[in-house]
Amino acid sequence: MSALRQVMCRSTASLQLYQANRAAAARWASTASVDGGPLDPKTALARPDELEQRNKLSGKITVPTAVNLSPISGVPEEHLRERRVRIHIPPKNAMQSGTDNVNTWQIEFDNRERWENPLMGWASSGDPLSNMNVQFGSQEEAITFCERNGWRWYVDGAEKPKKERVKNYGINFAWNKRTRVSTK
Amino acid sequence: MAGREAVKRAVQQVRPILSVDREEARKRALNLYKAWYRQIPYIVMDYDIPMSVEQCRDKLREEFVKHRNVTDIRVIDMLVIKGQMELKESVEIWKQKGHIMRYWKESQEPKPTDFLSKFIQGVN
Repeated sequence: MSALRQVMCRSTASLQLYQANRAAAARWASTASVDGGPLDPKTALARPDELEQRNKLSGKITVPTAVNLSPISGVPEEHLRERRVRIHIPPKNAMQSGTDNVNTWQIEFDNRERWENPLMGWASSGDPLSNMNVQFGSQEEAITFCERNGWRWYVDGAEKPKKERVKNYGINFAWNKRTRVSTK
Repeated sequence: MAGREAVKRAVQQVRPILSVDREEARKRALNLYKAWYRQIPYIVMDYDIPMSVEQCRDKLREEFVKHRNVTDIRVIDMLVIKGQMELKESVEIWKQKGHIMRYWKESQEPKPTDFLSKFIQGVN
């Protein structure tokens, strides 16, 4: 009797297994590739609406190029509305350094209140942006940065056109130059 | 010295964060608003703040209206995500009373706006 029950149980179990297999096979057939290659379980087990959402998210959306990130940047409002950014090229060092460090553009914020520390006499400021030093390769990059962060800005020190001149040592000794002197 | 305030009209193709179109982003924002709206009585009760439910709902509306001019879908999505995080923190009582009261900025003194009071207080 117990053996019979075992057989019965096994048969019902195998029947359930068979049905489950058929269901799985049907799902497999709907998602599997033709040559029966390996399946991605994430794709095979996902619900149709999940798949649809994933498909949508893998695509692209069209947004304007100019985007203002100030609502999500976490910068306090008082540092968004009231700050004004100066975009400039840092001046050349007046000492004998070369001009290699003046090819970048920098941004600089307007000055906020400063005070002298009453105990030690140190200079103090409550402005978190006063020491921010960001360098850019071009003026446009700096402008884009400011606009993305929602700051007002202006470009300081417009480039003056330089007068063209021929750089030639021999010109100094041309026949019509007063620089040519006799050797005697 | 000329500020350029002209808005570029160019568009670009980017990966979405949550929503693929404006309508979906709008629905997400509205759902977040409703979730907050329904949660406010419990927040007032749990945190025992000295504010009424109506005052909290006004503040909720104010916080949402503050970003009414945001048009970029990705920024809207990010704001919704942040709002969701805030809600979760409030519901799970990961915040404290002061964190809730911070929305009203009661402890912050308003900064002077006109020239004379700025001058007297020594701020610029």
